[in-house]
Amino acid sequence: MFNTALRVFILAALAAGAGCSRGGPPHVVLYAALDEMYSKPILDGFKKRTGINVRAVYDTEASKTTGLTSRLVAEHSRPRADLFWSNEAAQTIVLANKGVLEPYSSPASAAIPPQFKDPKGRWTGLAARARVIIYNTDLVETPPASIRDLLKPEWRGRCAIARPLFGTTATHAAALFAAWGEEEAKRFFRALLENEVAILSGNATVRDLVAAGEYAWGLTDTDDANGAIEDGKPVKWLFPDQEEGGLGTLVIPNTVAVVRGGPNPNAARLLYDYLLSPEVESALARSRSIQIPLNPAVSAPENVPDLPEIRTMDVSFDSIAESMEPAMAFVREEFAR
Amino acid sequence: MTRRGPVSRSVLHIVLLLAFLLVVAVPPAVLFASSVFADGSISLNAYLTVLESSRQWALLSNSVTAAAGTAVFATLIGAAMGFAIGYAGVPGRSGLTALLPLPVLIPAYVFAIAWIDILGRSGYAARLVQGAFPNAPQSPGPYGLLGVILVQTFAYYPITALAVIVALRRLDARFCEAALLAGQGRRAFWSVALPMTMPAVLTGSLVVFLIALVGYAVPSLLQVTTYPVEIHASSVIYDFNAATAHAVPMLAVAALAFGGWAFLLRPRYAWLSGAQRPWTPQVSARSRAFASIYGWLIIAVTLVLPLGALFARSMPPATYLNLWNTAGDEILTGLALAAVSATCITTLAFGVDRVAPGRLVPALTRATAVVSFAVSGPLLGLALIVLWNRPGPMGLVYDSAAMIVLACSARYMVFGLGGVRAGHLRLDARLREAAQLSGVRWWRSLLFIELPLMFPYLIGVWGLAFILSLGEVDTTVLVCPPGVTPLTVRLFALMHYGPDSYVAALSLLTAGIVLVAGTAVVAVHAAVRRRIPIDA
Repeated sequence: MFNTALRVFILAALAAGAGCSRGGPPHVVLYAALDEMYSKPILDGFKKRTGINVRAVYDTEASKTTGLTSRLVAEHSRPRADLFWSNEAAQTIVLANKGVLEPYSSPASAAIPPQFKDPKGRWTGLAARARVIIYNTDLVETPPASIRDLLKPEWRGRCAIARPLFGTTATHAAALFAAWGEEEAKRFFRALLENEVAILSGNATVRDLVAAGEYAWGLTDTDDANGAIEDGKPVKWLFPDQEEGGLGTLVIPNTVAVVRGGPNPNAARLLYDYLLSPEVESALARSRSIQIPLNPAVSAPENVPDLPEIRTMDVSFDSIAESMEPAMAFVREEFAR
Repeated sequence: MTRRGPVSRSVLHIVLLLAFLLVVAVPPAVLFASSVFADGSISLNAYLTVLESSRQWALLSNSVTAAAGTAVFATLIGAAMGFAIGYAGVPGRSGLTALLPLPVLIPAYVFAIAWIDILGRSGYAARLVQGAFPNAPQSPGPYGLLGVILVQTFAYYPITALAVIVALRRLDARFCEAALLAGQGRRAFWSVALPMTMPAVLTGSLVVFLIALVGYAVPSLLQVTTYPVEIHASSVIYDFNAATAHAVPMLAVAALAFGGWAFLLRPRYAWLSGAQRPWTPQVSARSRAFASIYGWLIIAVTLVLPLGALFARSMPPATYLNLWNTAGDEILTGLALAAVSATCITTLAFGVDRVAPGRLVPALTRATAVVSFAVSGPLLGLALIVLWNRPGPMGLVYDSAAMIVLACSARYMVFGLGGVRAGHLRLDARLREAAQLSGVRWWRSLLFIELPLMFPYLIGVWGLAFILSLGEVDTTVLVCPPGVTPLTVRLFALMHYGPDSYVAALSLLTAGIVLVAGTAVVAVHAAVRRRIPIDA
């Protein structure tokens, strides 16, 4: 009995160490912020097509996609990743400006609209999410239409947003700084706090608590909102600020980028091209996360308009990245409790 | 021949201490060293900027209040629970003892979500109250400092309870019986049992305090900014030096707590000396009935309610089958890595505590382990990257799953050292001395006398380290190698996109796995104790 247990344990230890095996069949190392349940089938498709194995490291909701970007910065002197697949753009641009990413002019990026790719070729966007208003249909009869409705007295203490220091909410905050200018954006965020808007730990939490009736409505992303609808929760969602001349909503693409000095550059480029293919955008559009295709050749998922039909915020991702530092400094100071 | 023993022993001592330094001491040292070197010169700017910030007091206040509040309430509830089971001997105490650790096994983040389901503005409790009293004011929900304290208290009180139960098993019944024979039933409790188990109570409180102090998930979810939340925020904008600087006040608080614990505990090591005859419960039927109601009520509130909420979320039953199909590999990987990590922690803790000479070195090793634990998970992960991601052999280690083992060992060594120290203090030195006088070689004495006598403690340490390693995510997510996804990383990933039911089901599955593993450890522990009558 003891010997059997010992043998099982030794096998387990060897199995644990097996992840380190080097060499072997051709492979590419991917740091993926997009969740495994969506990215893995796509990566399996890549392996099937090319024979190249993808060794992925995934991020978690706990680290709000910043775990991998922190890791890429910390590993900069000896990169271990070949490719970075982020589920947003601002952190990718920060990484590009820190010299972590390498330019690559992918033929597959030609179909992507210019506002969703880096002019220097350090990253390219694909399959986007949009910021949306999610509301509880049991609690809201006339849904709000603008993010400025968060400041209305009738919603005092009844709305929620994610802490604007992480993920897409941080990008949204930086976008508002870029679109409105610092002073107006600061006034807006201070007014949010005065109107007792709840600041939650993430967009998924906003979704969960609106669905649970804790809050009447809040801001989240299309993928989070759709998850609640597919789970049969009493919620609906809409794009904010869609009126003529309105602010529009922020559309945030996934981004893919080659890591400078990664150990498998050729395989990285092959995977880069594959991720930008219409096949991948189509798969992501039809998944539970209903990602909005950027390639005009791919149709939008059901219940989501095509990208040109959505009024989007008129700000470039470079200006969003430039606004990131002042926006985050302000948010950290104001949103501390 | 006579010199080979001491030389080989010295080599082993040096190897063990070097291994300890590399695994536990060097990572935080690298972190602090890199935070004071800026552009080739020494600079304390990051520390001055952070410490002069007006927000320090708010952060310190939130962190200390959340940790101290949790420790106080967890101690009150946990110690009472421990006495109900271990002193009053309530009916069904085996069942209570088996159920007791479960709240600690559910990831705190998931536990908090379960409590929002129960106590939230539209939670089960609010709906119940609104149904009975339609005009009742709306529940504020489990948010803010009070919510953090409540959720963490319900999650961590078993630590104090289990410490008290273990201490009561070592209580020498003769003291209590002397008080009982003198006709002083209550005095047996207040003057004998309580003071003699106080070190266990204090130790449990310290552990709860430290875990609550460094916890990120619950304060973050319940909207309270503590030092770990701020450290995370600093890491987000790649200000690693500021993140390190934020860890300093937290470390100071942890050091104060640790120092206070050592000061209070020092004169009371008598409790570790072993029982001539274990305590057999001899309390009145009324007290036992009261203790029984209390014990089962606490289990109902802190375990049945949140597990029930998770179970309701995890439906339909097909979720479990789908989950196994999609996350089965991660579950097995998580179990294997946790087992290897627990073995490393136990082995290194046993070795280092055995060879550390005098009082100063053991105290220093424990202090170092506290720093490694209290520095916060994400920072420790960054430190491990800086230390190990280098060309050559260190790079080979960095590219392997060994990094997860190193991360867990660095974080949880403090608990390994504590458990092993308790065992070593109870070891009868005369047995070792008798072996030495008989000319038995040091390694034979170690392998065939000391190790078997320490086995019950080592199994306990292994079990605790296994549970903690299985739940580790903050550091693991930064250092896990490509292609290896441990269980908790999968769980936290599911929290973003995964269906609610998957998250709840995986949490229940994790708790179930750990319950089975814990039961196996307890069974082995009991079997070993039957063979090795260390406590007479």
